[in-house]
Amino acid sequence: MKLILNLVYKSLLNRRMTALMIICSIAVSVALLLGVEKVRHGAKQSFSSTIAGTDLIVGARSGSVQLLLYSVFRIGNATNNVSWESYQDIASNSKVAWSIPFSLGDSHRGYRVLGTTDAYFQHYRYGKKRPLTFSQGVPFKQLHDVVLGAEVAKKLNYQLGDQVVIAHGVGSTSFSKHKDQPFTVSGILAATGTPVDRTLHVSLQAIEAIHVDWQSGAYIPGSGGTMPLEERDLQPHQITAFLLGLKSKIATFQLQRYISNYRAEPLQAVLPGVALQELWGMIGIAENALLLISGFVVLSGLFTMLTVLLTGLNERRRELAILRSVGCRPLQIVMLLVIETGLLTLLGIALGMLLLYSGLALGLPLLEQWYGLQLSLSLPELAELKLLLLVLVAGTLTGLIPGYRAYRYSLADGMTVRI
Amino acid sequence: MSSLIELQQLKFYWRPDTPVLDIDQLQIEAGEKLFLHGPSGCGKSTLLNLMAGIHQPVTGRIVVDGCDLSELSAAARDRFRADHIGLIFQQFNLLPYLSVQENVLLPCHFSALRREQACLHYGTAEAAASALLASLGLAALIDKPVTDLSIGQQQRVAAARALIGNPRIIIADEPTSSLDSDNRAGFIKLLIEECDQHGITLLFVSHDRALTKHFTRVVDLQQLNRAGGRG
Ligand SMILES: Nc1ncnc2c1ncn2[C@@H]1O[C@H](COP(=O)(O)OP(=O)(O)OP(=O)(O)O)[C@@H](O)[C@H]1O
Ligand SMILES: [Mg+2]
Repeated sequence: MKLILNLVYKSLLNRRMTALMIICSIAVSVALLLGVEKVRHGAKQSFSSTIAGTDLIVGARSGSVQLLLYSVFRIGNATNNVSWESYQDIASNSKVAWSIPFSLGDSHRGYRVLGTTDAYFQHYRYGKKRPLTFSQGVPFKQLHDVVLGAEVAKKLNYQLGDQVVIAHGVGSTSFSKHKDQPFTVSGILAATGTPVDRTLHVSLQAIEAIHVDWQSGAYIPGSGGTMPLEERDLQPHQITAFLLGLKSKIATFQLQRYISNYRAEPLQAVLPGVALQELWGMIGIAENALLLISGFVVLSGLFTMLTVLLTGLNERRRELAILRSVGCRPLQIVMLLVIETGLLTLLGIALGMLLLYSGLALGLPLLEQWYGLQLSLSLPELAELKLLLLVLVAGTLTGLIPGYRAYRYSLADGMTVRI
Repeated sequence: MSSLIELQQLKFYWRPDTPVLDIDQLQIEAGEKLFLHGPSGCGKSTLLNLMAGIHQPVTGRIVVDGCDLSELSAAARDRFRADHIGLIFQQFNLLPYLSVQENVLLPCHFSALRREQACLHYGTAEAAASALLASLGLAALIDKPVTDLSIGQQQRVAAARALIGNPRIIIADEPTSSLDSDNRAGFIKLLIEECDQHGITLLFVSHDRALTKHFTRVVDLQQLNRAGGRG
């Protein structure tokens, strides 16, 4: 056995150029496979860490995925709103520790505008219960202050103190703008890798204020009366949704039931984790397709190895005949070739990991900074190890094909190699 | 006891209806140095392969050292060959990625018996290899890569490898055809000397009749072989 390993090693060293090519081709495909797997994992991780620490999301009755989409991911629109009275009532329930109201519906150059309160900056959590932090400035204080998500500020190149005009509605080409009431950037949030980065935050009162002169979706100047904004009661009448944090998790289901059966209007409360799971299940197909593709890349890497080894086998018939003549058994010859492919695959995997991890080490800070995508540089997960093991087994078994050919040769060739 | 190698009613076909070998009887005694010749294509190499247990006769028996080869399993024949037979080919006998010494030691790795016998005489297999290489005039080359050797030197290394661990038989298929005539005579003398010294039987195939004088027996396969060959 030791001898066979030694022979494999020296024979490979003798063919180091070819061996290196095979190792590289396997390394690249393994790096790709693991990379896709890591991004997939990271995407799922950051997807499921979009919202954390919230016990219930409450909105008008629709579907739980829909509620999650429009409230947390800012995709799509609510079909109905929640009345301010219901919100006040539920938020003051004795089991509730904190609540964050959400008022959506306006936008700025494709980015959603969220009307909320200071509670948002205090209680909203993402990832591993990380709070929102300001990279510059402070929360909104004045009526026309706006706090920008990291991506909004970066992509649109806004600084503190810049003026921002909010559009009515959510299309990026929305023509009706609240030009009469420009906002001033008071703060910019640090990147989170969540939809928060793509949101502009203003106070609930500001949302009311910019809609003063709007009557059923049309801007009619002066229609809201002539009273100055400062003197008006800008208490909202309705909001889009709200988040609840409870004093004790045990009360979650009880409160959920209470909200679902709420008398005053049809409401629903969903657990963020459950809704995220449901949503991920729906978009999981795309990620599986990605994994499938990188699986095929690995397969093509193995085929490269097979082709190269089979082509080289003819030149090695002499070598195999010599081994046979000194007493090497046909099965040992098969073993020789299987160990060879196994070793090449193993080295390919090792190099692939090295490639991937050094690539990640260099690229991670950039990925996090630009896309908020947080991949961990941790050791491979169990699932990744399983994948690698699969590649190793497949690579090793690939050796059976040239092994079988060599077995036939070594029986037929005898002392004279026929080509 | 009978001869070391005995062939009886041996027939071998590569393709049905055209026999390559049809030999009624051939006996080779222990210690003989047999020179086998015949025109190209008459089946010399095929016969050696049969005696080495690489191919199986279609009918008939080959008994080597009291052992009927056709009664052995393929694995047992492999073991038998590794233990008792040293082989030398016409050319390219050596593994290019091993040193001279490593090449010579190969049979000792695949056959415990050969290793034992090598150790019996010299203490270690490595010492046996050194001694053999020295007596073949290759002492200075022992750690060289084989690719640095001349053809004549390579053939002598192959001879050392066939000799190590005292097999019963050495089968050499035209080992001298790539050497010039001076080298040929030198090679054969050394080979026969070593075989004599260790009581090894030598089966030697060559086209060069000038070499017959070194051997104890000369066999013309064409006369022996009723199939006649197609050369
Ligand atoms: N593997 C094989 N498959 C089919 N036919 C073969 C095979 N090996 C040899 N033969 C045929 O068997 C016959 C004998 O071949 P062999 O190699 O034994 O001849 P030889 O006497 O050694 O010739 P040479 O002196 O040229 O080496 C030839 O006619 C050859 O064509
Ligand atoms: Mg021949």
